[in-house]
Amino acid sequence: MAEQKNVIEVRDLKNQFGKQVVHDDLDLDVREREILGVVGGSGTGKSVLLRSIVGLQTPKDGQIHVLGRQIFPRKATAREINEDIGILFQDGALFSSMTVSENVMAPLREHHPEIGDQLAQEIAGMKLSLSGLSEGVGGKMPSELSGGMRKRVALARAMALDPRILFLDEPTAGLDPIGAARFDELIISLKENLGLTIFMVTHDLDSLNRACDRVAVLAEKKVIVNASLDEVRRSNHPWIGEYFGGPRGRAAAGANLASGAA
Amino acid sequence: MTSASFEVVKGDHPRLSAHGPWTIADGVAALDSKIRAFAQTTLDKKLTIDMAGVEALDTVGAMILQRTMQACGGRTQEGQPLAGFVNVTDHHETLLEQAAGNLISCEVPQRPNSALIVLERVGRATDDIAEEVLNILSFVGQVVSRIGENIRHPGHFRPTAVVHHMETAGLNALFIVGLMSFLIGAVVAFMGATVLAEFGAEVFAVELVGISVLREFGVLLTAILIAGRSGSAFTAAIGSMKLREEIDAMRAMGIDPMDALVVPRVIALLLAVPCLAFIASVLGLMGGGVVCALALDIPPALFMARTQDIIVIDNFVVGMVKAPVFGFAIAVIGCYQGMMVEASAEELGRRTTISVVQSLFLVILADALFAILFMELDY
Ligand SMILES: Nc1ncnc2c1ncn2[C@@H]1O[C@H](COP(=O)(O)OP(=O)(O)OP(=O)(O)O)[C@@H](O)[C@H]1O
Ligand SMILES: [Mg+2]
Repeated sequence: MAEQKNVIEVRDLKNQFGKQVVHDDLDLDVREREILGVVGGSGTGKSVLLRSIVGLQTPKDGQIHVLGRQIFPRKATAREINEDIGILFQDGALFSSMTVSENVMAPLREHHPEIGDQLAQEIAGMKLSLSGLSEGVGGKMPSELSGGMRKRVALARAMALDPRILFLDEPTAGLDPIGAARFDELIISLKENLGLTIFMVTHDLDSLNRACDRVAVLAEKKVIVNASLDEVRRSNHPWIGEYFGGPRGRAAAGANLASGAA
Repeated sequence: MTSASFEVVKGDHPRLSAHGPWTIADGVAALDSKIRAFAQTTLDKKLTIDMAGVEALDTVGAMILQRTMQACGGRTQEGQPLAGFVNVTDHHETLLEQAAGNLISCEVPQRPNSALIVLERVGRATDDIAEEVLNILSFVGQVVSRIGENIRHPGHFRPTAVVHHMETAGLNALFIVGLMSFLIGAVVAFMGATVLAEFGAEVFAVELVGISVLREFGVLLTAILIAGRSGSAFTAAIGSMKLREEIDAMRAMGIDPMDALVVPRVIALLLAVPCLAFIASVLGLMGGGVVCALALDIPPALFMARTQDIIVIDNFVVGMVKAPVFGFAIAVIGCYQGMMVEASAEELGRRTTISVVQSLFLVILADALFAILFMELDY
């Protein structure tokens, strides 16, 4: 395959909270039109990495480029890139005082004030439907939804502008298996049809198998591998062995082989 | 850079040719009203949409095209989402199919007109006041019964929490309460003396300061400051715990939030407000004394002597008796409003405001009632 363009480049990133060093000399490349799965134990700094890339967290040191623009040391303003990115936060982060459809319309209204009410509602309805919500949730408040439904609304909001890069922090956590599988299909189709790049923090081994083109493993304050799933599996790092070689990892891999053969 | 556009051929075989990038970034939203108007005139004729000129398509563009197609002619049957479209590339095909399955508009409920809203709000507010008074009374009952329970079973009591709240709500407010009180004492002395000087009775400024500071200003100022400072903090803290389901988590663990959150705060203010009021009164007197000495030629010794002779202990008692009542009212309202927060962050802000307003109102109401009571008792 020809060398692809990198849409995200992280070099020598260092993040530190007080004395606790979370990232040290971390390098990461995300290629255009790929779904990158980011895995790592709890507390290894996956969310912090995501926040640094989108400019919500000021790192201690290093360089971050997104879509050719320098995020850190800060050159681009937040507004310049946030039309091109959509973020699904780990706990949804819906605006609690707005209805579900207003939540989805919020980024549309901010970046495209020319959109009429009717069109905005239609767009919101379609995004909600794409993320697997049925008609009638649009008028509800976030506090009236279940945890999984909130996640889907957050996904609909992240996709509202058809961003070029979608950042997802554990998108399938809290979804039922059917919903999670539909979600995988959704992001694959987004990637293929809209040319999206997806940065997905996940612990869902099925998602990694089915959706992700490459997997980045975070351990020891660095990205220790960033390669296709098969290559990652072959790596002999003990944590990786335990992660993919455990009963769940084997089950997911087996299921994937079976479905591939059928 | 080109932007999205389209041209139509009307008639019995209408045809819509789309050109340019049909994406939201390239202005497809601006076409919406035009294309809607076109759809109105073309209802139920078999429309053909020519996609040959489309350079780029995103979900919004696909949705607009698919919506138009479905409105005009309803050619799209189950399983044939692309009927009526010609010259579609592979990428666009999937997007159009996706859009066909997900055409849902979520209606935003219409808002009634503003005059009605005003009337409705007045009605609701009146109704809410009655309900709120009952709720607060019932909350007071619960707090008192929990305090009683804590006394009977001291195991539930949380001294560490009480001390913590006494520190944040009491000790940390000491400086500002003292300073305000000192300044008010000084102002009363100065203003009083200016008026009294016309009658040659400047020296009565001492009585003026003594009585007003000990009876009213010391404790009232303290209560007002604490209501603004700690009442609101209580509401915000408990309210955000409620929003993040921390209170439900406590209940599920068998921890009574009344014991853990409310009783310690109420007891802390019951104890802290009298202490603050005492210090405020002393500093108020000092403020008066300093002004008397510096500006009015009443030496400190005379000020002290007159204060001791004429200002009877009754004034001090009257002031201090009110302090725990005010503290109780502020803490109860702060906690009650916090426990009432539900659903949204905006609600938290609203409840915090209400908490301050209500506790100020209650403090001043209680003060007026005390004034009448002491008048009847001839204190
Ligand atoms: N604002 C903060 N202040 C101090 N420490 C923080 C902060 N945010 C994160 N950390 C620390 O950074 C480390 C990484 O946190 P992060 O949230 O990125 O973990 P994670 O990899 O996303 O874990 P999980 O899979 O559980 O979501 C943790 O040890 C955490 O304690
Ligand atoms: Mg995380």
